[in-house]
Amino acid sequence: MARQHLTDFELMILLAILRIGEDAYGVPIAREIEQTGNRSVLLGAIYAALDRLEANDLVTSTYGDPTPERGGRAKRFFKVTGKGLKAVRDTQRAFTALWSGIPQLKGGTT
Amino acid sequence: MTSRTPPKLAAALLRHLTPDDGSLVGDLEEGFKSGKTSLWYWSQVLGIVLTNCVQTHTCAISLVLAAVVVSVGSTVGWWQTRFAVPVLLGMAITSWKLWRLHRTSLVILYVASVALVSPYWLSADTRSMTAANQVFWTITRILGGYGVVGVLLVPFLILRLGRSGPLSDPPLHISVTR
Repeated sequence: MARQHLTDFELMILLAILRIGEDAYGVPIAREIEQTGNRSVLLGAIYAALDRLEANDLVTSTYGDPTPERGGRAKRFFKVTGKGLKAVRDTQRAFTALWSGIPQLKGGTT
Repeated sequence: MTSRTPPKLAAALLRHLTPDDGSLVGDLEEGFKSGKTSLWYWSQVLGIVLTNCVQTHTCAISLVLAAVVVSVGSTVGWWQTRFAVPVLLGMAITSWKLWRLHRTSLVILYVASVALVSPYWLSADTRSMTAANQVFWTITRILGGYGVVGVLLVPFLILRLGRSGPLSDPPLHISVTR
């Protein structure tokens, strides 16, 4: 049965791509999640999630030119599609609805 | 950015055990050259190998575990015939799983198991045993062969059939519909 929602990790990746913009490939995506999400990530896990997202048309990827600092290997740049953007908005809406009306979460961030 | 080279063994593992178009390997190399440690590189490579393994070989991994369980169980059963029944049950479950995944492998597994134990079987003197003991004796030895062959055969199946063959899992499909 197909899943109906994004996982938190998939959502973080989509948000990281949106934050980075044009230069979104593996290294900056990992850095963005590590810095803003305050968690360490494995590049393999990021690529596995990106492959799933691409298979479901939530992101697209294109290859750049090979560079010497990467051992002659090309960067794979990612972009969020319209469907991916809608998925992010839907998830945000769902989270916001869940967030509201919880007394314990009112009046502070800790 | 430095001109350091990543750990050779880790790089070789990455090259041989993961299907990659080069972008992931390039990302790792870029990260390493920008100052990350060898430990970081190793942990990333092991994470990639593990992630890839789980993604593409879930069925095969469960078969490896099943083969290990059966082999341990059958080794115990070899000495203690009273363990033959639970081991037989384990064999039935793994056989059923293998039958659903790849029938040829199951046939190979059984033929190889019998071939492995038959010389010992034929040469052993079982005349002094009771009929019931002879049955248990035969079962435990076949189970022993099954376990040994299973452990040897399943990694072979992973390498030869797992990635794109009958043991590979279908990709996970996510649909976002609201």
